[in-house]
Amino acid sequence: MQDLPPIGGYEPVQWKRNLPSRGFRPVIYFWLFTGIMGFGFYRYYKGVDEQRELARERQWARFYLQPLLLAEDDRNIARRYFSELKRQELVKETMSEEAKAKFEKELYNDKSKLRFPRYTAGANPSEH
Amino acid sequence: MLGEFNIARHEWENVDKNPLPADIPEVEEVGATSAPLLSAAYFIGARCKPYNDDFLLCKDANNGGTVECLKEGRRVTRCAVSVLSDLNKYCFDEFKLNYECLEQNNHNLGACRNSEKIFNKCVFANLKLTKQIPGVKEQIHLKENPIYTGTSNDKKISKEFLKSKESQN
Amino acid sequence: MPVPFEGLIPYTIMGMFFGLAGHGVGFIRYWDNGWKNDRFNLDEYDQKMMQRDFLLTGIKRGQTSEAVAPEHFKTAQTELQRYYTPYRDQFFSFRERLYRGYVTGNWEFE
Repeated sequence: MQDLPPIGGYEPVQWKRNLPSRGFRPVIYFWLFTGIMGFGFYRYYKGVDEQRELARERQWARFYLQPLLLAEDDRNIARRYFSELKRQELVKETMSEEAKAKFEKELYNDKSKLRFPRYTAGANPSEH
Repeated sequence: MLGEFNIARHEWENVDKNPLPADIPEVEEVGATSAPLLSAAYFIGARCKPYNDDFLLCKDANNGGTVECLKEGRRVTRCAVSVLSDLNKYCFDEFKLNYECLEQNNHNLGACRNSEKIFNKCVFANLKLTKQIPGVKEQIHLKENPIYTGTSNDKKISKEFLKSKESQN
Repeated sequence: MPVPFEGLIPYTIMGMFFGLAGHGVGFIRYWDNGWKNDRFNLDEYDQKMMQRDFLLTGIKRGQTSEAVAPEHFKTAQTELQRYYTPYRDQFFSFRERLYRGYVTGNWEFE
């Protein structure tokens, strides 16, 4: 007894491997990705340049605003300064002679410029 | 909780409500806040350059000149106020469009180019002031194809603004 | 490689909750800023300007293009001052501070 081929014959035998396509040549990939990277770097450094210009633009905007903000601030400082002088006059009125002499003593010998008082030479309240 | 460790720390606000003495002339302070000021900075700089330079030179010559340069300071402030009131008078809507965009985008000038273009155009048409960044040839705000093109929201709002302006005319 | 959708359910739920938390906080901040985006990368100039804005408008993140400031702005400026002392309120009371003439400085006992 012998097995015979099935009716209609055998299925065709796959003798070739089913390998996927290997794509382009390596050189083409190299230049493709180099090109993409190059474009990216080009855009990036363009962007860096632009960031610098944006920073410059903001700086100049601030420079133009600086005088008016300074003027505003100066008026505030001057207002506080004159108000402080007035306050010192008021404080002096209630002082004894010795305390007043101490109070009026200059803090600085250098009279070449105006110094804003940070603390005044105030008398200790226990002293009067 | 941290108060136990900061027991030695004392803080208070130093407030002084006394006005300037009467012998120093009054001046109206600039009332615009940061975003409108940033938007208008180049126009303030363009119109008030002589006053600004004068003020800063005075301060330079007087060791800070806080008390000595009050007069020049008043001139600076009056000039800035005049620019701002002109902007409010002639280009109120465009001004508002631009500074609201700046306020939404962290005061980033590069994010608001579209509205800025509309604003600059209006200012040039009415006040003859131009934005000019000193020291460079290429003006970033006039660049044709910038990398930072501004936010899409600004583009949309600017387009809508132009459309509504057209439909009014 | 099909993944059965049942396997992705936990990740979907996690993602939804992360999204809810993030967008929720973002929305609250946006609302708290007066329907404005957050400011970030602030330098000292920006901080000072925001303080000035607050004095002018009286609200956080308020903006106005008014050319002339309201009258109260001229005297609105305040300075936060501090000093350090181990003797709490014993030697430097507020009255004393005023009396001794405190102007713009901070006491340093070092």
